[in-house]
Amino acid sequence: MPLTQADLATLGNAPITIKSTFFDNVYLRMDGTSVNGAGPGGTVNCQLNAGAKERFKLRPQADGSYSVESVASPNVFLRMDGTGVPTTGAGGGTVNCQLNANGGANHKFNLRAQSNGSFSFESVAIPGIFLRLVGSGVTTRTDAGGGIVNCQLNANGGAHESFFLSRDDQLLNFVMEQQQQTYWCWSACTVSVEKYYNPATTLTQCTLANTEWGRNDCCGAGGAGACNRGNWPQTPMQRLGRLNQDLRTTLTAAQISDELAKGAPFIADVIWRDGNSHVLAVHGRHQIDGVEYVKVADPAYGNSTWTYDDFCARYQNIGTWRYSYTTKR
Amino acid sequence: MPLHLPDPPSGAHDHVKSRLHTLAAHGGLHTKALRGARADQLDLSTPHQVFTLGADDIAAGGGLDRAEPAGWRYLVESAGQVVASAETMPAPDGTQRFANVNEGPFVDATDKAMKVVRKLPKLEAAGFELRLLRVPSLYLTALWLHSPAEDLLVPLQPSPIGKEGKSMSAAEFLSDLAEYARSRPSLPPPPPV
Repeated sequence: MPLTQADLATLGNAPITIKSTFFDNVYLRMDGTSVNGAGPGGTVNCQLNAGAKERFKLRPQADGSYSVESVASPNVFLRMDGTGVPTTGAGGGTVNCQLNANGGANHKFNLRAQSNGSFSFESVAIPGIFLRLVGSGVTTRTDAGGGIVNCQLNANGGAHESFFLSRDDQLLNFVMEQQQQTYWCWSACTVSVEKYYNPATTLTQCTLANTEWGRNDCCGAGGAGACNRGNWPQTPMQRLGRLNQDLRTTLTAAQISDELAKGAPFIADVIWRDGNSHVLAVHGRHQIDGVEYVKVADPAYGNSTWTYDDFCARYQNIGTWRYSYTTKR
Repeated sequence: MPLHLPDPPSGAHDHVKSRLHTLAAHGGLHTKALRGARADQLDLSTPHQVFTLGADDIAAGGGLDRAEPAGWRYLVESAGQVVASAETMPAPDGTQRFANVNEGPFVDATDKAMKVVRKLPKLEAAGFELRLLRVPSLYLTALWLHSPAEDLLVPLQPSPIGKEGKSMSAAEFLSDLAEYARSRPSLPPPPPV
């Protein structure tokens, strides 16, 4: 689903894509690799489908406008100079990028909402000047991109000046350990979170169980015996300093995106129909054709991709997501 | 008599395949095997219906007649190799809709168990239909060979009752699982927020 005006205000660090409403699967592309402090430069054009250079973060400004920052080149901002744009409708001016230009005069845009859910990007510096994308001929993905991105006069809602904004795919490089005992989902999740933030840790599932149960045999014969018990993960996570919030609720797709934008996987507690429960991690999300998906790393069932709706209500057929434990560095 | 692979509901196969190709094309599949696979090389095989049982059903001595149908499962193949599973669940209108694609341990375990199952001498005597039985809260997943006369269960690795890849009678399987379910330690209430 394209982002709405209300969504924009709560995006935070979540990356977005900017897609033409007119040209199929053509996205705004920004290559800021050559931009330095000397002045504007780089390349802004079009690309088929969205990759690294087609990802942006919206930076809200005090006047209600936004600056557009590259994800691939942090601190490089979209720049639009509408000076000299002809009145003939041919388009003109210059669109490129600039380093450390958050909130600069040529780097602020009022996002004008359109009735089809898209937005037009109007220059704050020169009202009436709009971002224009012509993606003719952009039918394959190339390293340099293609097409034209420049400015158009009085083109609010124009076919070449309207864009769908969507949350970009998010996937953290999170690895879940397989649970070493049948009831150690809590330990596998806690250890995996600790290893995600602190790869040098020597913590293991059995040493964590030893600590939790006040024993010293969970790494040996006791592992499958008295040590093999269920537990809640928030207590060991808290002790390790990895528990951000103990939320006795689920998260919306937007809230999931916010956690991932912070680089933070979270632990979800699922209650089975028979009353038992299980914990796992969510470490990614994406949206395709209007369907929201989550990436699940499960210490028992492995990695999977679920539709958000089925993950909430029918995980492994009889599981209902109920609690969320967010994490922190 | 060969193992019978049942026909999924009309349209389910094409729907799942389409979703899978879309996910692959958008980088939505993340293990090494699937990430490197071309969307048009991904295919579905081995359809089977998924059934679930609760641990409470098992502990109370409930039988396979308590198992509830939950959807359909396919194996996902790339260049002839099994790399994932994909499942459907019923939509409110009764159609089967794509629910998930899994790349976990039960995928490889299914592939291995299928090779064992196809060589079972009992297949010659009776026509068995392939099903999957899942008891999520006991972390038990098993192939379920169903016929009107007999049911066989093959626990997939990892199994809480062991016997991975071994064919078990329903009575033996349920007895082992019930004993395991009854021995499950209880979980205390969650700590206060």
